[in-house]
Amino acid sequence: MPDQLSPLFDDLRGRALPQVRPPGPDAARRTVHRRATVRASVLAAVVLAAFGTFVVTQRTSGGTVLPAASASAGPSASSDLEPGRLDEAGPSASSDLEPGRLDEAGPSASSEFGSGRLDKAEVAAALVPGATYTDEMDASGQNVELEAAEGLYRLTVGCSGPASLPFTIMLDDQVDQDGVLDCTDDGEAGDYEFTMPREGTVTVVFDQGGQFDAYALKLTKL
Amino acid sequence: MPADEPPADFDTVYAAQYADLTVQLYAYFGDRQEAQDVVQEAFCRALRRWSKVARYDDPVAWVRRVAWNLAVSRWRRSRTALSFLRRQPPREPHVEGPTTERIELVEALATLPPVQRRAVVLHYLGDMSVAEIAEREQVAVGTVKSWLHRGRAGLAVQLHQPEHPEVRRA
Repeated sequence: MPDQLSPLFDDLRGRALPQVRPPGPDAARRTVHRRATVRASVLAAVVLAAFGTFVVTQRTSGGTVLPAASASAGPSASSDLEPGRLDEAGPSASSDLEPGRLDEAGPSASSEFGSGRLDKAEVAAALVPGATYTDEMDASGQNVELEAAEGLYRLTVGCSGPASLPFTIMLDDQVDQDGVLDCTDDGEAGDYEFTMPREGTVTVVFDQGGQFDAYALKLTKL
Repeated sequence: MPADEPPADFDTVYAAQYADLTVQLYAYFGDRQEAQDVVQEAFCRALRRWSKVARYDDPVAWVRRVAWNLAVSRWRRSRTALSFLRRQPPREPHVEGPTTERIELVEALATLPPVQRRAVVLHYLGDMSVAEIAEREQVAVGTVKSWLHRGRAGLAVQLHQPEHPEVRRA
């Protein structure tokens, strides 16, 4: 006995298919690019606000603010502490250092903050002056897309965090080269040169092995 | 995917699959625009991690799964239900003059419970076998057969067709 529904579904498919108007793969690319830009902007604003808060806190409490370059050289004390964002580090991270004094002295009582230690996102950003994109790795890999015209480029990647950060540089979906940064709490940066054969998209594909690392990018036309 | 095969090209997969997936989700939603939005979103998510997805054995399956997951999320269902109610009438826009039969089929599908509707759509429009649907939905084959049986019965009532139990392919 033939299935009487099959012709109805075949008819539905046959008539509906011509009416579908795909927005197109370029629209998908624009959407992904726009979202990446928004994410980068939000993150940059958060990092800036956190850093501004940190500076203001230091100044109002009479602490010493060291320049970012000094901070990236790495803290000598309390290296067993997990580096984190300023708002995460807070009192709990400081409590091991100055127990019982937090309420009175606040964050400046902590040698972490007193030494001007930055969080990993700031360390990564400090390693890439003029970075146009910063983010932090989560449990999955991340792609960052950068538009580029034809020509020779240098991609500077800086990172800070607990794990090595492997990544691949792709030019218009074609693999150009692989890289890996050791990161560490003090951070590490590297330069990677490549030639764009034509105007297109440079995609930096970060592998999930670098989970919890913070990274910063800057693409420079040479 | 065998190691010697190049990774799937995003544009090619998009061109080959977008319309088919949209029709499936249109049958599920009863709203073509909603279906297009969901499929486009699935492709956007695929594009963001295409370097990995392209190396999967079946990149299309990944996109299809994401699209369907989006489709069945509670938020989407609620929004679709509201959207559907707001559009009563004028129903589906008659751009190309869809047949009454087609509208009836989409409306009849909308009366089925979500799991039955999904099973029917995957079977008839997604060309998936009972076993494939069972694997996708992580249920027993018998459960899918039951969904299809009840789905057909429900459609038969809505479309005033005599009910029959045949499974097209298993």
